[in-house]
Amino acid sequence: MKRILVIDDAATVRLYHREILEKAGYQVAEAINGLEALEKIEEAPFDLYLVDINMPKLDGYGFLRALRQREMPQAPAIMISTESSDSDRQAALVAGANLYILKPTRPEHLLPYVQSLLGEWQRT
Amino acid sequence: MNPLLEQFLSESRDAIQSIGEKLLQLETAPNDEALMGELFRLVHTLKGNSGLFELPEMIRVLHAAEDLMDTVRAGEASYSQDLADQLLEAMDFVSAVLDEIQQAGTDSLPADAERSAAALDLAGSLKQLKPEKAQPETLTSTNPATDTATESATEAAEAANDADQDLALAQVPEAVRMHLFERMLAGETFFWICYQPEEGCFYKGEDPLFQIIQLPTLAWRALSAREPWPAAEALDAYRCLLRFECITAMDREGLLEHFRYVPDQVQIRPIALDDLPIPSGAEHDAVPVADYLQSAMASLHQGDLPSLIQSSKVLLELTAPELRIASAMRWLLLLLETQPEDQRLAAALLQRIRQQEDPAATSMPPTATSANAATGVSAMPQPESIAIDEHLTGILQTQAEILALDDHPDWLPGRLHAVAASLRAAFRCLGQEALLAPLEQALEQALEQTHPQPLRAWLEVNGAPYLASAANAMAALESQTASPAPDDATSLDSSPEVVTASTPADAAASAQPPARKFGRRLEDSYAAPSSIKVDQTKIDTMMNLIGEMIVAKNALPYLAARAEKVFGVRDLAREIKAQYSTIHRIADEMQDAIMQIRLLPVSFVFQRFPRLVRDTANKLGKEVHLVMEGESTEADKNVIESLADPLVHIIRNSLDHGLETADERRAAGKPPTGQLSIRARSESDRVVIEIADDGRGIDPDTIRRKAYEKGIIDEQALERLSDQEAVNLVFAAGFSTAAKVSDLSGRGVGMDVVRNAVAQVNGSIDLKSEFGKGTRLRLSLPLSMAVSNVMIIQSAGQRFGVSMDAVAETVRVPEANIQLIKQQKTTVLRGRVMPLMALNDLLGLDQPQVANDDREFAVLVVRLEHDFLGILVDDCLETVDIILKPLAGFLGSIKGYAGSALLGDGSVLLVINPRGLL
Repeated sequence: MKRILVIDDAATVRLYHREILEKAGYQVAEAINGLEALEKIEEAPFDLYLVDINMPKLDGYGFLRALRQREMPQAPAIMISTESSDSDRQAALVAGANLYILKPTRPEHLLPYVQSLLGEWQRT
Repeated sequence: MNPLLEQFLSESRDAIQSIGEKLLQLETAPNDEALMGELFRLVHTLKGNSGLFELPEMIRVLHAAEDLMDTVRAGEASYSQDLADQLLEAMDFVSAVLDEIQQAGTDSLPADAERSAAALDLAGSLKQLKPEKAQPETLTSTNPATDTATESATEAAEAANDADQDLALAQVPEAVRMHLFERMLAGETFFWICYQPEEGCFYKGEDPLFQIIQLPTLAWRALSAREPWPAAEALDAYRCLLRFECITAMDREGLLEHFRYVPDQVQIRPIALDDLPIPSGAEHDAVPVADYLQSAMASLHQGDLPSLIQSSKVLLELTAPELRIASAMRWLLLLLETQPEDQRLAAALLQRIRQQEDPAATSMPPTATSANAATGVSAMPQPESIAIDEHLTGILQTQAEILALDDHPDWLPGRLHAVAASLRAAFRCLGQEALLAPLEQALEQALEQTHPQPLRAWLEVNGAPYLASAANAMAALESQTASPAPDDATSLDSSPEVVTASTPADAAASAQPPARKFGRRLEDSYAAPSSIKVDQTKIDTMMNLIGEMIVAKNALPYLAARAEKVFGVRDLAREIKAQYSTIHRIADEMQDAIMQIRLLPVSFVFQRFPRLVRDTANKLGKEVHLVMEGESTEADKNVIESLADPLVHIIRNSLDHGLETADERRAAGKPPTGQLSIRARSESDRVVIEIADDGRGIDPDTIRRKAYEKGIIDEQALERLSDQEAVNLVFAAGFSTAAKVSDLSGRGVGMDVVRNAVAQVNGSIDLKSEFGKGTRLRLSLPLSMAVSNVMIIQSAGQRFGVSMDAVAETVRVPEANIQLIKQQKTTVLRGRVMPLMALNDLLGLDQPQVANDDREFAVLVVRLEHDFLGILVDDCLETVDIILKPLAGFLGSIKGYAGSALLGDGSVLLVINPRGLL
């Protein structure tokens, strides 16, 4: 089963994503900020990361930069944001995101991206 | 309620609480950037969370709040009290909505005119606080930054929904589209608008039809239903299911302004030239298109326009005008006629005809050679484009963007690995496993060179067919935003330098903080405080269970006694006793542990005070400085909760009656700002809370006079009462000293209510006041109410309990020492006269009290406020620890009993409340 790490300081958002992803058959882990996420990946790398930007202690950019510096299998990361500006998107890609999606993430919108980045999406 | 909603409610409540605190902290430190950032993050999270639910009003308000906070954070607006007031009000609104959700148990709240009006109002006033920057007439663009943001948001949505728009525009009559096409060539711009009013819009005073007919310069419009209309008998005429679509020449600013109250219900998209040539009409089956297409493509390829026009005209004449292919020919001719220079659109149209009319041709897979072969003619779309799904395109597009970044960060290898992983996944989805081996090679090369170029070249070649179909959609975006998207497919053989030079990535790359900051040590030192939230009913249940276990445990000694006496097995009795001591110890520890869980810091109640004091002082026009101490002092949850209302009342009283206005204070030689302090501390097994102010204090003479006027004391008392006793009269029922009943305190309830509330949790209250100098109230409360120590007494052959808190001492009084004064039994105890009452009389038991063999009566001396009262009982027995359960149901109203408890032998003990008996 593919493992996805959801990193967001808002518990509601984490639960929301967990429900969507678990229903789609993925194993979901949560982290409440970048630092906790870095601890989690220390145990074992994940197949995909869903990353919020604005978090206390270590934000999404910081987490991605740190992740991409690690000597470990690198998995795609989706940055989830409420900021639609181009500079925010740019900064996310620079930091190490592979996709930039706007909140709120509706399941029918999010899942195809997740499945595609895990190589599991099939054309209907 | 589903867990997501529950989580949302609890997290939102926490956020609102913190927002309130932060706002108040900001009042003392308005320039604290960290605090401001934290505040912004909280509002932001709150808004983000509500976005997951159907809460338009809440989102509207929070959005405005977030916007405002953003400008404050950016230093464009300054923090002011006004601003804090508005934000606090907004949070009150959000709280109210949360309460509604909690009650309804669902996030789909029924439309409510009052709520939405309040939301509009709040959002409006929040917006007004934002600094005006643009022309006053363009209301929506007060903040250029947010405007760009909304615009690019719309644009992003535009790209994503291109397919929708295609469908929408196909329904526009061909003649209208052709007309639009010509006008656009002449330089006009048009927007396509889809306005879907929300279902409850009629309740909000919105008038969608009016909105639409008010739109000037309409080129076309249509009205449709969003879902099939229900049968007439089930039709809810007040539920709006309409969809308005129209095309207008109005500019974007104008449109945003026009729809400023319903921005979330409107889609506004610019119409591009190539959106318009959509062949429409009936499908055909007999027209031989394949040959035509082949020759047409060839003609276009060679730039032989006359022969293309000729063959198209022939085909047009051959087909019935209502067929789709005829429509396509008309468009093609129009394109060739109006734009002979630029054949891009014509080529795209031919491609489209081929897809629609000759599907067999497009199913052929594209090859890399076909992409590279067409280098000569610039007008042709170079590679064959394959339409794939939007999200796969998006992923490929984004990876191309990442590979085009011009920075060389430390984490470039990680980035390359991640891009390769994304591409691997995407191409697997596309069924192109054969391309994966070259991808690995490209990755290796890129890593060797520490440069993305090899990967980029791979993607450009292999991704081109897929990206080409997205190129059209991207073109519109690129023209308006400074997007660093790589050049479209035509730049296949351009050198990497050219492409990278055109990407403005440097700015973003240099703007980010140094990467090494996030070293390992930082992570290692981090330890999250681990706490969990538990529903309080669960703790109460556990508390009750432990209570029952303690009682059940107490049955063991009885059992041991029975084993020995009744059954004569002494050894068994001993074993039971040994077991009992173990269970006893564990039960005690359990009880201790659960008590620890139930302990709450007094800050639970105190945290409301800064705002209460601030708001109240503002209303009264007084300046007050609030000092709080000992907020971490802990006590049982019930005790803490029972404190909330009395404390609020006391504080209001202090602010309203105690503290003077700044002018009065100056006249009295005091500093203009009044001081109110709330201090909590624990004293042995009690919590003491002191509320002190340096206000005008209580005038004992005024109190005496008032009390006399109200008939609370008689003339003799008037003379006799000491100042302290007079001051204590404020606790008497029905006493109110304020000359006029103000809006804040003095709502008919006075300090007697406070005293009763405190007494209910076995607390006491003590008032000291110095006229002209200030007032000090001292509340003393037990740490916990869960386990009570009671004394068991006997009267009329029954056993009763009396809380040890109430018992001052027990004495034996000889019958001879009891005298009657005015029909009242009294005795003299250590030189003081003490009234005596018989418990049997108080309880209405028709029996005389029984004295012991020495003609002595057992007397329970109880403390009532500052007086002592003797209660005559038959006998005083031992004291025990019990779990007091309040009387429930109809019995709950009986004041004379504090509750009942189970004793170890299984019998029920009624616990007397002496105060309630009198």
